Amino acid sequence: MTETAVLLGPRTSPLVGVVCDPPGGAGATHDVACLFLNAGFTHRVGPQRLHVRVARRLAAMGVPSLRFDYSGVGDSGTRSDATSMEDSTIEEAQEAMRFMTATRGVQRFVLIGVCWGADNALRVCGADPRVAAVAAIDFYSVYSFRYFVRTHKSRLLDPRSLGSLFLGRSAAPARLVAGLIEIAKSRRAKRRAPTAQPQAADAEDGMLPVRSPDSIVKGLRGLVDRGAQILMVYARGAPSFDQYQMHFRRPMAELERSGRFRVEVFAHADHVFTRLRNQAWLIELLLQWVSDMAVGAGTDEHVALEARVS
Amino acid sequence: MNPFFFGTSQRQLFGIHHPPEGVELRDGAVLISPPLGHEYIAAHRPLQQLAVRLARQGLHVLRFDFFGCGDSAGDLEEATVAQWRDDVQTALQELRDMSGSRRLSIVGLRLGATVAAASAAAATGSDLRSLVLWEPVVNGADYVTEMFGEQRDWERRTFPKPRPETLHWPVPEVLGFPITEDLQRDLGALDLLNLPGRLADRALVVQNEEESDYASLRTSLTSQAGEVELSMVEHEACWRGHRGGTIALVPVPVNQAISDWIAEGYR
Repeated sequence: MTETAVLLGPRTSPLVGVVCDPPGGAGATHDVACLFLNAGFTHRVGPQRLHVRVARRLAAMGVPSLRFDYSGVGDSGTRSDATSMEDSTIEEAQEAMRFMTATRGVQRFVLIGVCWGADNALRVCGADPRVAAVAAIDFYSVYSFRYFVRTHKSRLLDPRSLGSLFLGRSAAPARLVAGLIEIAKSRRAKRRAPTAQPQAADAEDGMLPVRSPDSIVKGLRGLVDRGAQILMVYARGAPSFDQYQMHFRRPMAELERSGRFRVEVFAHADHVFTRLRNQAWLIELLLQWVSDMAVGAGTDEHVALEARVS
Repeated sequence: MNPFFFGTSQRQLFGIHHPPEGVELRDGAVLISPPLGHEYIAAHRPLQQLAVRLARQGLHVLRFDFFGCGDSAGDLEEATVAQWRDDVQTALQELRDMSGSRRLSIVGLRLGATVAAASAAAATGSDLRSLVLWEPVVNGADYVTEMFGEQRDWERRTFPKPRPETLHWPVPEVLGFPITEDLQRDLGALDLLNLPGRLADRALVVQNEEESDYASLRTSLTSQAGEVELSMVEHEACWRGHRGGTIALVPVPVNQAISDWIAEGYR
């Protein structure tokens, strides 16, 4: 395994990344590579360094990967143009794919993302046919009242937070107003759902695009119909699990019948799989799933990969 | 900005060099020494922004990841404090080679400050121009206790009714990072109040809240640096993203204060 630091995109405002190559180095060509997308503002190493550890295990299996920072995140500079984040996240992922094609001959990509990264991975998949598969880990994009309560419950019950609130040093009132605005936007999006375009954001505020559940399901169905493999991973201890139960459980069960859509729920995990036990399970799941994507289940090469994973 | 790996092939460290910008180039270079684990993740962008600010002061800046952390080689389970002290010296040598300057400074945050100071103290005849200890870990044993306390708080908040079988894992953990018993012992032996040797020409301790340890630290540093300053700068503790703070929030006032103080040392 070798790792190389790289700069991608325009020289004036490049994106910073690290390519992790299998033994044999950068000279070899590969059919498939993985891209790791930023989990919110967490830089390319991923939550608890998840991306680094998965990348190194993938390289040991023979699969190269690139982890990079979107503009304005981690080590990458900010963009000076007026491109929206909705568009730049797709453009920059495509820039990363171009880089891997030019330097490693890669033609197909597996995108892995947690949280915001999951949302971006699915949107990039919708925009670019080179994306063969997406692992969307704790994806959320629907802002509902129940979600809001779940997100803020621990803070509302924390004596320190309450103390700050009474002393006027808390940002909670501003967050409350922002949250209520999001809920209103989400409800408006839901009303407009019948006319919504698949994978198009109905409303957006900062990093969290708000879409109606129907438009999300429609978008996912579109990806499966065009042959993409989708792995949705949910953590039962995270607010997004409520969204899954409320909006997605049934339609996703239907999508699973296609054989190209898979849902995994981790019972005792939080949003970013903080516990080491959960990280270990998540890593094994991803490696197993990518090995299926990389060479196709049942082939001799797949059997060899499976042996290396285990 | 130039990302690269340096060090030996068995022990590659990831670094980012920020070359000097602006009209007034100074003969000087600054190493930024990051914190550990969850604090490292939360403080990454603030330290990146600090590097940009220092480079605009006309200085070479190198940020790096310790072994077993970030993009550097290895796993945290294999790391030791002694190796991290060596990493600081390896990074300083890299910075000397890149910048061509012998007038080096270090800015360290939390454990990064402590390890950098311990490394400087252990190096014969430390020739550091300036050393910034930003909310440093003063006593390693207290730090270990504090970290595991945070882990317990987090578990209580996140899983109020945990199932016993979910609580056991072979390696002790703090907010998603393995902190082995060996590493705990290593960390527990760190004591900023009892470092031998000279540290730097000048030292600055940056603190956010009144804390008696930092007054004692200032006193103890007076024998190890020509000039010692204790500065109170109110700011969001950017490395505490897990406590409900905002990850990657850049504490502009403290970045400004540190970069001005460092630049002052090169006038």
